[in-house]
Amino acid sequence: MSDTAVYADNLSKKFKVYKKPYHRLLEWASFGSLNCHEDFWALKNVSFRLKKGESLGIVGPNGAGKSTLLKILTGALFPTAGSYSVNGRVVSLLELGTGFHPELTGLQNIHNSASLLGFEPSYVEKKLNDIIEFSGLKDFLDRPVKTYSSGMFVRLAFSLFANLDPDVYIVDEALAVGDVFFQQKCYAKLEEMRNNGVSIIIVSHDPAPIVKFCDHAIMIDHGSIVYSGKPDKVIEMYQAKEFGKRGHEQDYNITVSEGNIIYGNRNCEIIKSNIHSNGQEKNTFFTGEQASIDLYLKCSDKMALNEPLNIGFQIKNRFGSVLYGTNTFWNKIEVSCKNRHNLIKCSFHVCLNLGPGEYTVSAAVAEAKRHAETIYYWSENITKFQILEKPDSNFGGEVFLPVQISLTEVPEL
Amino acid sequence: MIREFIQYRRYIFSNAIGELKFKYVGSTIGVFWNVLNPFFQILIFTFVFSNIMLARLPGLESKGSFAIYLCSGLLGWISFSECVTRGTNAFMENGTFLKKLPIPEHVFVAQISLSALMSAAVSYSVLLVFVLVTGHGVALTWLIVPLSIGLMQLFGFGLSLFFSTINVFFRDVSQLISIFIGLWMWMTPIVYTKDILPESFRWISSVNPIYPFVNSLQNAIVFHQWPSRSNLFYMVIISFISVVFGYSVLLFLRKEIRDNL
Repeated sequence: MSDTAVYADNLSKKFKVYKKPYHRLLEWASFGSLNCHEDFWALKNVSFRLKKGESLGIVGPNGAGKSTLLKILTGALFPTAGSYSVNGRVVSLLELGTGFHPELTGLQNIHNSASLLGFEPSYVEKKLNDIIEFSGLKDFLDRPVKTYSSGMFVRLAFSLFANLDPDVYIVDEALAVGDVFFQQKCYAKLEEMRNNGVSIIIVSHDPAPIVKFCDHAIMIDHGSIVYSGKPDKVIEMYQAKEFGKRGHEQDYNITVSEGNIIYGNRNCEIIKSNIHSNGQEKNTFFTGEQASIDLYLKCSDKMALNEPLNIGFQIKNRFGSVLYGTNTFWNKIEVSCKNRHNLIKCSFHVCLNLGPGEYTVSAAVAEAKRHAETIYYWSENITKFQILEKPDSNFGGEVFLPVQISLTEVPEL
Repeated sequence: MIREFIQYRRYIFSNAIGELKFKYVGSTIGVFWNVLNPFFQILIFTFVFSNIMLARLPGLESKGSFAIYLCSGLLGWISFSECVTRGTNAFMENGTFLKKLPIPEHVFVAQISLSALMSAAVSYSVLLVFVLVTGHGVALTWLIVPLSIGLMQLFGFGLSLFFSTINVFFRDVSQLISIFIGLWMWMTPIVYTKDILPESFRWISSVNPIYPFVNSLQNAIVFHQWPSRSNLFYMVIISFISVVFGYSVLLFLRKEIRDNL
C-alpha cells in the first residue's frame, strides 16, 4: 500500500434536502422520530486507487458528483459512508485565489493563503523565491492585490499553488483561465510535477489535458463510476453519452468493442469502411498524400424512404482533439435512401495535410439538419491511419499549411 | 482544537490583525482610528455625564467618575457583543473557504474573537491613559483587566461557536442574536448601577452570565477592588462551559455544516 497516493473505498455522500428550513427544526424537536427530509446521494460507492506519480482524469456531466468527490478528497466535506486515504499533502486548485484578500499585498497574500492551506510559515519562506520567479510579478509584490489585473491575479495564484510541492495535486477546471501562454506554462508545470512523482487528479470537460496527462480516467454519472479505463477510451465513452443525451429518443444503445464505440438508433448503419489511395487499401500515408475514405451504409426497415441523410467523418489526433471534420450536409450534397436493398457508398476524397503521427477516423450518419438531434449511427475510431514524415519535410506541427516564403531587403521600418 | 489553532496560528493572527487594519482602510490615518474611536467615545461619555446629565456614583462623588464607570463596563461589552454578533455569521461569511478547504471551522470564529479581544485591549489602554491623565487614580487592580477581558472573549468565543453552528441551519439566528444582544446590554448594569434597580429586578444580574465579567472590570477600574473569589470562579467556569458546550455542538453537527453552506 505504500505506493498508493490516493485510495477511495466505497465513498458515498448523502445530502439531506429540506424543502423548508423549519422542517429541520421539526426533525430536531422530535429528536429524529419525524423524518422531514429527502436524501440525495451525490456519490454512491466510488472506489479507485491512484498510485504515486500517476494521474487520474475524472469526467462526467455537470452535477454528476465530480466536485463532491474532490471536496471529500481534499477534506472539505465528510463522506457519509466509505473511507479514503490520501498519502501525503494534498493541494487543491478548486478555485484559484480563493483565499486572496484584495487589500493585502501580493507577498502578504502568499503567506496568508499558504497558512490557510495549512503550510508552515518556514516552508513558505523556503519556497518563496520559486513562487516569485514563476509568477514573474517581482515588481508588483508589495502592491495590494486589488490593483492587479485579472491575469496577474491568476498568475500569482497558480504560482503559489504550483510551487508548494504537494504530494497529491487536484486540478478542477481551473486551468481554463488565463491566456494561452499562461495555460501552456501551467501544463508544462503539471508535466514537470508529474515527472517529479506528484500524483495529479484532473477534472475537465476538455479531453486534451485528460488524454495528455492522465494514466487512467473514470467517468462519473449520477454519483457512480460508470466507466473506467484508459483516458482516450473514457473520453470517447463520455462524448458518446453526451451526444446521446442530446436526442429525445432513449434508444442510443452504446456498444463498445476493441476501442470502437458505436451509438445511435441504428435506423441506418455504416457496415463497412476503408481508407485507400487510388484504390489501394492502406493505412500509412505521407504528408499531403491524396486519400479516400469510403463508407458503406445500409438502411433498416425503420428508415423512411427519401428521408434526407447526412454522412460525415472526423479526423482526430492521438489526444482525441478533432482536427478536421465535414459532412454531406455542409457540402450541400443530398443523400437519401432510395432502395433498402442497395447500399449507399459515400467516398470522401481528402488530401492528408497532416503532420507525422497517428490519427483516428470517426464516421457518422444522422438526420440532415444543422444541429442533428437524431443520430442513426456514430462510430468512434472506425479506422485509423498513420502519417509518415517525408524525407524532404519542411514543417513541424500537426497540420500542413502550404506556405510561400518571400524575402526582400528593406532600408528601414 | 488546540492543535488546530497552533497549526493555523499564523492565519488566525494575520487575519485578526488584518481586520483591525482594514476596518478603516482608505482613510487617511487608517489604523489610528482603532485608537481614536474609543478615545472619542470616552470623551463624549465624560462630557455628557459630567456636564449635562450630572450622574454621580454612590460613594464616588468626583465629576468624571460616572463616565469612567460607564466606560469600564461598556468598552468590554462593545467588543464582547461584536465578537458574538460577528461570530454568529462566521461560518456563513467564510463559506467559500469551508466548502473548498479542509480548514477547521472554529478557526474563523477564533479569528473574530481574537480581533475583538485586540480591539478591547486597545480600548482599555486608551481608557488607562485617559484615567491617568485626568487624575482619577489608578490602582494595581488594573492588573485584573487583561484577565477579565480575556475570559470575556473566551465566553464570547464559546457562544459564537454555538450560534454560528446553529446559524448555518437556521439563518434567522443571526437576526435574533442582534436583537437579543441589544436587550442583554440593558439587562446588565453597564449604563446604570446595580443599586438603582428595583428590588424585584435584582435577581436578573445574579443569573446574568456576563455580569461577573462586567462587574470585575468596574470594580477594578472604578472602585480599585480585586474581584471576589466567587466572581473569579464564575468567570472561569462560565467561559470554560461556554467553550466546551459550543465546541461539542460544533463537533456534533460538523459533518452537516459544510453541506449546508
